[in-house]
Amino acid sequence: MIRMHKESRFSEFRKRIAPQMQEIGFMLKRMSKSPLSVIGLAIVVFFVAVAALAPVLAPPIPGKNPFMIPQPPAYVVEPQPPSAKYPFGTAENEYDLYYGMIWGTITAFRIGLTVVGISLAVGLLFGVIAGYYGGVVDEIMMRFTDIIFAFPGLILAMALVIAIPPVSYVNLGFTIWQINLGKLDIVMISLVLVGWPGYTRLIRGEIMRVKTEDYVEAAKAVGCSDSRVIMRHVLPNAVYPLLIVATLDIGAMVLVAAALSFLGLGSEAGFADWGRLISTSRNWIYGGRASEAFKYWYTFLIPGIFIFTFTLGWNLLGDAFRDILDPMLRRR
Amino acid sequence: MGLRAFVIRRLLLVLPTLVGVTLLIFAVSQLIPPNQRAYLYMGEVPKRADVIPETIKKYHLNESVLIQYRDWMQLILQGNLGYSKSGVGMVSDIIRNKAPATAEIVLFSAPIIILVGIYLGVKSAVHRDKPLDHATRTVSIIGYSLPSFWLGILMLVFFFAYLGLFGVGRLSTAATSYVYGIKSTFVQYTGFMTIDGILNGQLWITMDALNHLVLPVAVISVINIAAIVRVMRSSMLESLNKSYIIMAKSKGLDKNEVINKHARRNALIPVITLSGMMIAGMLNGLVITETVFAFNGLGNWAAQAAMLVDLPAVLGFAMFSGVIFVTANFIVDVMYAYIDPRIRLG
Amino acid sequence: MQKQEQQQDLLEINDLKVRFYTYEGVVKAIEGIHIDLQRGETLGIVGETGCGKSVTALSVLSLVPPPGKIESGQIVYKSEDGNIDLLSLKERELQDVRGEDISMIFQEPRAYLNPVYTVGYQITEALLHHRSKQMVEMVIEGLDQDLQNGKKGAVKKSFLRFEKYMYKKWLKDPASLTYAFFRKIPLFRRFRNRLKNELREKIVVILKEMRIPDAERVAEMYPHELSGGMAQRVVIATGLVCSPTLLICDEPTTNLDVTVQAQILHLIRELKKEFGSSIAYITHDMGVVAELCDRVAVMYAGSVCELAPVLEIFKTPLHPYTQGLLESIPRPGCDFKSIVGSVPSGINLPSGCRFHPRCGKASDLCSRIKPHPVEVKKGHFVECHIYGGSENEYSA
Repeated sequence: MIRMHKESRFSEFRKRIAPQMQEIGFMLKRMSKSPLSVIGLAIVVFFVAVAALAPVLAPPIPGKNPFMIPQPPAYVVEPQPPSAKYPFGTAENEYDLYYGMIWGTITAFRIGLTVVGISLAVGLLFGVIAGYYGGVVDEIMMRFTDIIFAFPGLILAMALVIAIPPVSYVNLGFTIWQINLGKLDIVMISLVLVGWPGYTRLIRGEIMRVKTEDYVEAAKAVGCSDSRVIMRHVLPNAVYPLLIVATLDIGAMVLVAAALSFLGLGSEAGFADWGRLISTSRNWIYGGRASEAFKYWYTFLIPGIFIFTFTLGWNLLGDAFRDILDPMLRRR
Repeated sequence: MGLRAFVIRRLLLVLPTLVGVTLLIFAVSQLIPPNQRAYLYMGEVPKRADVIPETIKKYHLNESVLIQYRDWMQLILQGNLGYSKSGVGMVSDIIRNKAPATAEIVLFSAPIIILVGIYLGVKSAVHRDKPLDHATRTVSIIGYSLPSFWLGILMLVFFFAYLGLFGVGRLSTAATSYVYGIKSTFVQYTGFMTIDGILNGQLWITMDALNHLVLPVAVISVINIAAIVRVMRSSMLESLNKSYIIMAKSKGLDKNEVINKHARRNALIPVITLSGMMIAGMLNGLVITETVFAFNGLGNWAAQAAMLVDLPAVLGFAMFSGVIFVTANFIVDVMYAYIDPRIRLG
Repeated sequence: MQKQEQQQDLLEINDLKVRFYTYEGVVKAIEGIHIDLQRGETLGIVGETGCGKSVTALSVLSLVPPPGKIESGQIVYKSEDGNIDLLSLKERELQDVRGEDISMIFQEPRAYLNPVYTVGYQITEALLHHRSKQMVEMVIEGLDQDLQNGKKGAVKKSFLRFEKYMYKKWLKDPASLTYAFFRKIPLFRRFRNRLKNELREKIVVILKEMRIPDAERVAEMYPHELSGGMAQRVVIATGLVCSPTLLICDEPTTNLDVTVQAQILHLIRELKKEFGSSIAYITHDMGVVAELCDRVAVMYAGSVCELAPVLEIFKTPLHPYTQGLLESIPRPGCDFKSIVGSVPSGINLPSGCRFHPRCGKASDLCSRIKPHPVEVKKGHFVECHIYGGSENEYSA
């Protein structure tokens, strides 16, 4: 039996991506077998839900910035234990921990996704150029990333955070553009500046590896243009490790941002940020006596659990990807 | 080709990187207005209040970037990193004074991390998917996800506040007044309290120092062991799948020999790189850990300086850690070439 | 086959079944094959990629990697000490056999040599593992000679006595703590130098036998510094260093240039005479089989289709697959002839005779029942219904 009519474009497309679909199917099947991956996914989904439902779970005061934790005008300095009014208790200066946790979730996603997203994009761009064209371009790029790599991440971020001015003016000729950066924005910019070389290095390495594979030579021999070779042949094969690292980095970036907040370099006081809320808990630890040791447990335990679980979720997910992609790569 | 040629070649690469480090720090400093930047150029502790305008004029801080860079590099090469508001002293002096404290933590943690990490990683890979493997992996991923400051706080609460063990800071008050007091006869030969205690014949100082080291070392170790175990395990699994393992078995070697001599040596290669970089980067985590435990070292000082926006301190510290990192990387590369003969060819 | 009276069975593979449990399904790599190997002969195992010849080789020494598993069967090794079923041995006993009685060499030499150790070291490993007692005794003999030699001074002599003491201690108890302890101390460690020198000599000797020029220098080189041919000679040296009775060669020349291939084949032939080993040679190249082997087994999709002396196979191939293989060898002046279809995947094997979808002479019986091996002529076995594979049992 012979088909007389032409295959529609859609079914052609479906046939072309069928092998990738099969691989994704394998991936999901494999993932469902490992309990750790399922837990990771569940955790991430949980946080996504919390973030999405934030206005419902912890209604903000209308008219005010929802990310500033509401604080009664006559506030109590000492942290209060959980009660009906404050389900998670309060941190120092009567900041509602429950509110802080809920809206802090959005902050965490904001930090993680923005920083990783931009770092990935920038790193990808530079890395592809360096890796594909090689030569002088590659050398310059490598020296550049080397320099940034010469610094431990947190320390460079610290230096950048205090150096970047909150208000700056850019002279555009016909007008002067005033850039106002919130403290958290400065943190995010610093993290992007510290983070993009990692992706550049990674994608460059992968591209250099894939570049020498036979199918790329074949594509070039047939006459594919450079961009087509990159998009269709090189990138799809080189991008897998990046996926893994990006997933793991989302958690890592939140950790670093929390660390900066903990040191007082991140968001301002009263901002809904997990790290910020833990930092004040230190003032209430030196109880000295065993009976009082756990008195303010909610100040450090609750924000800490949120940070830890969030990071854990992304780490488990990233690990699951890594485990799955490994046998796939090996099967090739 | 040989090891020597490789070392020389790598050395030549290190120099431009170091220059680049200074360039980056300089670029960051340019973001700051001149009257703050002036502190970077102070040759000594400022005595008068109006010294800042003078400094601005002297070093052309309002003028061309190139001239500034030249002046600044001259100062740097003389070892002058500027004056620190928060530390009340020259940055270089502060670093020299506080470095041994931080180094002490690193010295105690590094061997623990490497030995325990490698051992657990190998065992985990060899007994893949058995209970030990699952347990190690679970603990490892938990350790990897823990915020270091949180772990530190939890340990503080549990061991220090609740059980009353160990202590915060570097030495107890009694030991501090003994070592640093006016009439002190304590000679700091090395700056390491543990060693100096022995050298001075005051064993209780050594014990006191160790007592205060336990918690910081524990926190740093737990988190880094987690990272090492993961890499060691995956590297070992890959190594065990290689063809030469089958060949080794076919020669009749027993399991331990195959694992330890053949698989492990190859698997160690990426792990060594990682360990070296990790130790160099320990400064990173120590900024936080020292702050949590109020440990009087470089990290604590850097954190305070950052909060007080003490520019020379933070930049000086950044440059210091940059140099250390580059040096450590260089050493790691050499070790790598020693272990894996293929690298020596370039 | 003139030496029939002296020939005995050396190795007998009986009803071997090996399976691989992969994500995509269960691969039935080998299903109940029977192969025997005679003492002093070179047996070739031929087949296309994926037919299971490498797995057969690995099974002999129980080296099949996971997810593979030897399901059932026996591999009987008939040594002077009696018959042992290699598949029933424990790991410890297997380690005695591997490298000593039965050795194996592989396809891509530089992948099968550990890149971080010198070539000499890797050959030493095999030697040391099996012959350490003899080596140490030789060293002690040498020490005794030196001690009796009046020329050495008193200090040297006491050191020599120390060395002798250490070696004797090791002979008595290889795990002795004293020995392990002194091994680590830099100054005293030198007592091992004698042993190292002895080993080095032996290595150079065997490398020379592999016709490797400049053997002393090569022994200190790393695998990646050697060419393919040299590396393969090193691998062969590793296999032969303990003079095994059987050497299994898994496509050792497939990745080499043709000229190098010829050299290695020639070398293997010479070495077989010198060392007196029997050889199982796995390849997909019928030309190599013709040059090297006495008998040959043709494998397809996990079964042995035909097993016969080489001349027989080339003159009168009985199984359709063997015929197809021989016809598909390109000849000048003739058109290309290939076997229709392709090798089936190990997961979805055809029913009945594995070859029937591609066989021009297939009948309905072939698609239903898998044929048994039948001895059509003396020493010539075929697994095909054309020769009555459905009634007779395998006659050993």
